[in-house]
Amino acid sequence: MRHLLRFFPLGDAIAAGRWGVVLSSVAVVALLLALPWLTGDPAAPSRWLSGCESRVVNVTLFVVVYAVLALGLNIVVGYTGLLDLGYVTFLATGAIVTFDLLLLVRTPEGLALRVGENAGLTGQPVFGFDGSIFVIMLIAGTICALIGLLRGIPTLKLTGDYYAIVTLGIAEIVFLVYLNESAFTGGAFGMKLDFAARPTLPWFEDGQWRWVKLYHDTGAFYLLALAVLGLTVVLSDRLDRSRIGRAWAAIRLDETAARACGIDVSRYKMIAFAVSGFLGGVGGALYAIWAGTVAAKSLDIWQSILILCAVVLGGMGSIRGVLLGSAMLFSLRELLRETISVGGLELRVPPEASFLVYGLLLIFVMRFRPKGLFPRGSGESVPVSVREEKELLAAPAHLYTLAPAEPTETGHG
Amino acid sequence: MVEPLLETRKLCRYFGGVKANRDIDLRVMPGSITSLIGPNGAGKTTVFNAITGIFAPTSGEVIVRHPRLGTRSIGGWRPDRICAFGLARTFQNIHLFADLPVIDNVKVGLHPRTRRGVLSAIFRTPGFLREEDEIHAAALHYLAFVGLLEAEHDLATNLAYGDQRKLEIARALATGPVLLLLDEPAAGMNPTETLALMELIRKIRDAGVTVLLIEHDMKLVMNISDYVYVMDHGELIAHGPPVAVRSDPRVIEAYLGPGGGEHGHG
Repeated sequence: MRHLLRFFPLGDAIAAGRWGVVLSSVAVVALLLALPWLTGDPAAPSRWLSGCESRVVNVTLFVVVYAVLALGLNIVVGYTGLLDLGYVTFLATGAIVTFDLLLLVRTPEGLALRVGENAGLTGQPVFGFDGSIFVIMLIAGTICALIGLLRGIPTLKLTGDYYAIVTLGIAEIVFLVYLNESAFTGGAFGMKLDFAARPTLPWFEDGQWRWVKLYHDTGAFYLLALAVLGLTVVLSDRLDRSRIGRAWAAIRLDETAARACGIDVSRYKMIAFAVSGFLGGVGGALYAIWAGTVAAKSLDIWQSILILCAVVLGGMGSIRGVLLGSAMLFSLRELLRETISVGGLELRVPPEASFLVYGLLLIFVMRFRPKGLFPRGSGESVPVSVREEKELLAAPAHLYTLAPAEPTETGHG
Repeated sequence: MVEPLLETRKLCRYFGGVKANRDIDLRVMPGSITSLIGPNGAGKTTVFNAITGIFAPTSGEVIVRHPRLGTRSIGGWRPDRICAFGLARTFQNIHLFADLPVIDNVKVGLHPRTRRGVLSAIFRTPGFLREEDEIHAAALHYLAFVGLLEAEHDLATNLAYGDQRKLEIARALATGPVLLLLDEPAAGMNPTETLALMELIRKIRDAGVTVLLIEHDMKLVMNISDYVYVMDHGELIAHGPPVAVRSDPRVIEAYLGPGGGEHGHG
């Protein structure tokens, strides 16, 4: 019974009686689901669908996509304790792989394309795959997981600043390669997804389920992005509070002691790199569809820094913190793009100057909350109630190999 | 004849020109408490580090006769593999996972004896949940064994010094060792705590785990050891039962300087 409860998301929190966590999680999910309805046009045939085209939902989508990326980075930075300055590699690869796959199956020219040339053309499916977003996310994620593993080989023995510098260097190399290999990436011009090359998704429309084309301002994409974020949160949380997560924590806190506890440090770092890369690839695929264009030029070091800022701002290793940090930083980024008219004056922050604002924000947070806005909790990996604990102590313990010298001593309450 | 559980043959460890260990021959009999003593800088911790793989021996052999897993020469193995093979250790300068709760420190120790990987953790398979329960129960038992059950939920860093030492022992025991290597477990303890530690070490030995001990506290060493090795300047200078070692002139000289024996020692 207890196991059945713990199988479901939030089951742990319910079992441990942490109702605050349960209620706030449910409230946030409900709010996100209702958001298009709240911002929609009451006169439209579907208020919820019309709301998906609103500015608020668009900014929320931007936050959701980057929150997936930030949670992916958090695996390496927050859980394993390695400062990764090259996370943009996964974002760029995921986005480029998404576009390449779509161009491949949906345009006759395949990959040898430039912006605009694919207008109105449809390609041939490969092995029955004709652009399903689920398959695309899986492929993008897998490729990025492999890149994460490859990148792990030279960086495995590095810690601290050395690891940060090498990841930064590798990201720069990848950046330059993507900028120049224009056959795959569109080079300096970038790539654009037009009508024909959109990915597909099953959607209930006109009274039946059918495959529809996915646009950034549709209800289908909004729900997809929320679902991916939800799964990412569940995955992060479950890994964190498991044997794997404890091994990562051990590596983060004391590598020597981790080794002395029988943890194969290289192996668990590699697992972190692969999972982190996978999430980066999935986030990159979402980013590609949200943005509609991918230019290698814009996927530079600043993307890594921004995602890292969201993690540090919210609290490294804390899922709630990373979500809050992403929400603050990336909604601020969109807000700073707005033009405000005050008495005929057009006020606008220059795009370059927006980094001043992030910098200031980060300085304030580090000054007053050095562990982030919502720091990682110090609770147990698996909270167990007193009653459950008594049952566990009474049951035969297979992993306990010492014969207690005085049996009475273990009969504790 | 009973063969030693751990045997080092001509174990050497050099750091550049510094010969931290030269030709160390240790024999730790199963079921014993064996001590390694010597003045500061004698190279005791280096012996531990070479045995447990923190760094590889420069030359020589480390042989372990594991009752279930067989005999292996473990010199040069990675520390995590040595730990999984049944040699657990504590550190002179405590190496706990300071920001983790006490119980999670012990759970990390159970790592080499558990299996569940990424996918079962993500999907929360019945096997994963069962293993987590077993880990939890075993961790509680180890905490009870060292007497830290009450402190289960505290952060390791908030424990008193003596309790931190105990927690490190519990974590090491959780890895399921046949040999436990304790590096100065009584350092910084008051006499009462040392006495309790002595009881704990005996209890560990009685439970079937062989103990190899580095210690400065002579009273502790002489009281509980079955066999004592004495090191000075990177070499073994004497070994034998505590009574014999105590009166060995070379040992007295190493500890008190030439002529020190005239004034006797405790």
